[in-house]
Amino acid sequence: MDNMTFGKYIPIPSLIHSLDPRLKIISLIIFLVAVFFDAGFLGYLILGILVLIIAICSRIQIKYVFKAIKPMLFMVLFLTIFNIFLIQTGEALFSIFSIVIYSGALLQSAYIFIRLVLIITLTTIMTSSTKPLDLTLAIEDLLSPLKKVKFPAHEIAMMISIALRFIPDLLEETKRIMKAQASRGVDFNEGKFMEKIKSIVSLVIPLFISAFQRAEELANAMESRNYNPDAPRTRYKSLTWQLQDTVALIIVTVVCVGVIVMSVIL
Amino acid sequence: MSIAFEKVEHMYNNDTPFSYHALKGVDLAITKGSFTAIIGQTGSGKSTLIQHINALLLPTSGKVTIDDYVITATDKPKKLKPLRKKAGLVFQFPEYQLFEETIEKDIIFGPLNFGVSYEEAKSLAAKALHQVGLDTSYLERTPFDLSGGQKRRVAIAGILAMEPDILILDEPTAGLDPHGTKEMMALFKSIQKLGKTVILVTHDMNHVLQYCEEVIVMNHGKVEKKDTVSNIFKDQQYLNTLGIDLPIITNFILALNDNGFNIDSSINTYERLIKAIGGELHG
Repeated sequence: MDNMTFGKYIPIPSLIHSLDPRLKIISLIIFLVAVFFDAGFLGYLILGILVLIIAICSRIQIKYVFKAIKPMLFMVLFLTIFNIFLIQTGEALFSIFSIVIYSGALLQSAYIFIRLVLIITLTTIMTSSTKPLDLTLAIEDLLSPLKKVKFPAHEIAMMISIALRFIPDLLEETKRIMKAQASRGVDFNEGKFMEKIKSIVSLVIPLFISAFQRAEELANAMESRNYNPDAPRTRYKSLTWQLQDTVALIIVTVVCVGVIVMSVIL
Repeated sequence: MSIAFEKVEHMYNNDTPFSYHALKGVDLAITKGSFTAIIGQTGSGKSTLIQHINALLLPTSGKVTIDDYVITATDKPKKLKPLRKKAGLVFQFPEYQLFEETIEKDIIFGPLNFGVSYEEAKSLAAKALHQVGLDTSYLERTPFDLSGGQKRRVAIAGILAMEPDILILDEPTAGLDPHGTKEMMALFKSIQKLGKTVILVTHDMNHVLQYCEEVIVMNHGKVEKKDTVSNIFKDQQYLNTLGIDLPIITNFILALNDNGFNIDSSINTYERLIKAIGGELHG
């Protein structure tokens, strides 16, 4: 539990930290589009260098990025291996137990592996360099044009920010309950299958109860302060778009559009 | 000596930007069968300290010895269960750990985990429930319909049913009504009288004076003082620097003595205080 560093905001001064969260979200979306265009290894090399530069500018230690990738590694490998066996393009290379491996499969699987690693890395950098509340502010800002078609942008942003706000609390609560039950002889690591089920029950039920209690208390606290989602409101903190954000957006757009154009031409 | 800490350090989130040095070289010995209070400001490391006693936390460096069990950063006892049974830890607000459909099932959960037979666990549950002041009609009820104070009692019964040799309590009376508080403290005292070691983390100096024998003062992750209750309360100036007030009785005696009385300031019960003043207790 102590190793839950995935996506946790790391407060250090850096260029990436100081960028506008709206820019970061837009850039991430552009990048996600570009990464799914097949521009060959050269294209991924360019995107990889872009991610590397962003990582260096964010001053986040590489080992945190690795830590974030580690829990995802199983999924990434699972997808990669699945694809190696299932894709049947290109020439047949060799066969294992009557399953034929094609050259196209190896290539595609390599692409998928690279794509996922790049996406996870960039997402981790974004969440570690941006305060969760800034991210929700940015989401609300970016969605606000949709308010004209009655899209509940503020409500959604509020929901996201509450959810984000309670993640550390629930983790803390999980740790606390695990310790309390461990004191009563529960072994969360070992034991037979049925014992494990029982130990999970002893964790999940108290966790749900406290989550519902928290939700109710928060709802009451908001109501007693007359919270009204439709009320016109000002913000304590407003986002300001600066020159560096425009420059960053241009760089990301040029690189990503370049890769997309490359993939179309090739 | 039943519990010993030697140069124990504890770092939370070691090797990350969130690291926090919670215990800084703690040396400590708690005698078997004593009633020891751990006091200190919030964040002074009290809760971290007690979690080392049943190996929920391992020291970052240093050594914790509980009878035959030795816990260091690298080697913890292979089987933790006997140690967890030996040292029963009641967390702050333990009512959150209840999860079973009936109170009986919840109380026997601990004993069953430690390999006690079902029948024996049931009799332990009935006994523990009685100890915390609830009658056996509660056994079949669901814990979630109880009041906060009753839930607390059931949760404490869940630990008592494990029959620990060392009972560790983290602010067990926080949020209880005065009557319930008194009952609980008397219960812990009676458990000590059975020969068990009781360790109490508390902010209430009146409890320290009335029920405890030894006091450990924690400050910024260090054990600053370890002494008998009466010696600790002699140093009012020191306690004030930690934001700790004297117990009501001690304060009262000091005020009397300032005005010409000469009463022993180590008196720890109202009965003795009244006698010392020369009055009689009615009712």
